[in-house]
Amino acid sequence: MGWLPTPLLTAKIRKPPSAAIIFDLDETLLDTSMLRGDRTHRRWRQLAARLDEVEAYLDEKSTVQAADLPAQVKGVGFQVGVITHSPRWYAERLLSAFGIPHDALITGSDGYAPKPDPSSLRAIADELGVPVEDCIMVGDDAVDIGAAQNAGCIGIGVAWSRRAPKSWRRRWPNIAIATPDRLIDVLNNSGPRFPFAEAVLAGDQPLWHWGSLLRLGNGIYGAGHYYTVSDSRHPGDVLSRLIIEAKNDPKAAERVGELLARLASTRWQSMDVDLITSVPPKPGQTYDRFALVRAAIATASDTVERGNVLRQLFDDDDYKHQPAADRPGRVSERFASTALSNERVLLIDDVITSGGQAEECRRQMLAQGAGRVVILALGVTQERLPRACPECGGFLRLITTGPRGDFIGCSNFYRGCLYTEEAPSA
Amino acid sequence: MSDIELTRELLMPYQGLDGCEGLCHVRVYEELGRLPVVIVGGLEDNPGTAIALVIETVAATVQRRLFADGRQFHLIEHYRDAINGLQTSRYALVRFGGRSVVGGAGVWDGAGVEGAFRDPRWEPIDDIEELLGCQVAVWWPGRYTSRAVAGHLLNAPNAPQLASQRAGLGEVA
Repeated sequence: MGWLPTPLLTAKIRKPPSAAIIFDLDETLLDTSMLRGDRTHRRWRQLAARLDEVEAYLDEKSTVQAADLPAQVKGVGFQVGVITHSPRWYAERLLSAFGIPHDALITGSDGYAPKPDPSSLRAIADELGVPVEDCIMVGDDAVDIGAAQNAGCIGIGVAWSRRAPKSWRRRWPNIAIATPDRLIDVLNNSGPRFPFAEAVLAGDQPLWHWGSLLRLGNGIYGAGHYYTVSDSRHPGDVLSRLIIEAKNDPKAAERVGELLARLASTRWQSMDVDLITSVPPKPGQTYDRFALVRAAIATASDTVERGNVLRQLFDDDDYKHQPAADRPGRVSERFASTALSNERVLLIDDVITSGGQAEECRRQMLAQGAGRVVILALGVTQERLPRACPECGGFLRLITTGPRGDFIGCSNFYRGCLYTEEAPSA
Repeated sequence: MSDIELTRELLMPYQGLDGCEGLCHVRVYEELGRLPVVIVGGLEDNPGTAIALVIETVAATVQRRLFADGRQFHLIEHYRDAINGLQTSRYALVRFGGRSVVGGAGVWDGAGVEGAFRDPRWEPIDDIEELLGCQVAVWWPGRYTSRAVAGHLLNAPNAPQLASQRAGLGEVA
């Protein structure tokens, strides 16, 4: 988690050496939302005629405005790059009109593959003379975050509307902010940065901020990122490893409980509930992996917990192999709820992928009289970022079923590739 | 072994924004029973608008100049590589939401070039050679220029054939 090197003290912002901040232009630095249609449909002539409609974002609650961020960070020595896939004339006119300084600019006129491909990010880092891993990409769209992830650098997502875009769900930024001055805090290392669960596991003070939870909309929240075992980030990710361990290990489940219980002391208002329950075990399964979690949260929040509100009526072994879009249809009527009387309920799950199971549980509880059901998952499944096997080109994954402990092996093992690596310790 | 092969390779001018003419590298791969596959490459010294910004016009130009009979084709955009020394080439299949290219008699009527290809969407291609089923020459970053491609075309084993195509299309020498 310590991705910012020991900061150098400056007047306002402390800057890590050899780093650059790369900004997306449209709807990150400037409010060009009124031109989105022309940009999307590539009506370049109309676009050129409407440039004077573009506005700077104005956030009265923020001490810095979005269009001023490049000048602010440049003033303390960061290099500044701007990437857009709009034409160069468009970007240059807007940057000039709003007096936005920059050291490098990559546009759609330069012929690089569009984000989330990392080419444009690598190219701008190259132009700035900075290793791309030392850059920070700031953008409003999942493609900006995807480009950062594919390039191996930090992605900061901005939601000036204070509403997380739906497109973030599978590519949630490393850090999510809702006001421009939060970027200064983040660069300063002076405020909270990461999602709640990740901050706690890293030993940080879990201070509450807009990006504390992954906000999936419709009352569904995640406390951190979940990277599947075939994701190159999984082996080194403490939260993802903990989620896997807690499925069978009561000690890990206890840790999860302690972790989520700390949410009770935050300003998260959805924690103010009458009842805590969880997604039920499969039929015939005796171990309730959420029992300790519910108990810990209930104690911390002085709330009632019940593990028998929901029942799973039948199993669907093939469920996790279904595409995310098909999953909601497969869970219909799989769960049943006991009668409820207008309670505000917190429903706990370990991982949200499509959200289908948890949403079906909620539907059943609402049908049985629940007043409100908020869904909280420990992790939200992220789009897989594979790492290629150096021997056969397959992808590397963490194998947790080895007789000598965990190791990293190749997906083509069954086709004869014996490449392995030691698993990093969690 | 696949029978697909590179049948045409040329430098093709196209109309960019504001009347500024661009130049791209075009490779056509064909196999009996399959739609032709056209790779358009964005040259590093392209004097005009980047092909991605006017891909509709580029597609219409390919149609008019190479498939005037109205035959459909798959269009693949080949991007500039990110930095010198990186060995991966980047490609995307371009799909168009609208494509009205065949006239009443089943022949390309040449009308409405500007509007013939609309609403492009790009789908990244991980492995172009796997998709095509044949080798695709790699152009190294920093060397993918019109001069280098023209030199390659003149020195290619089937240069007379390629040269005759160039003569017909008015490409650069």
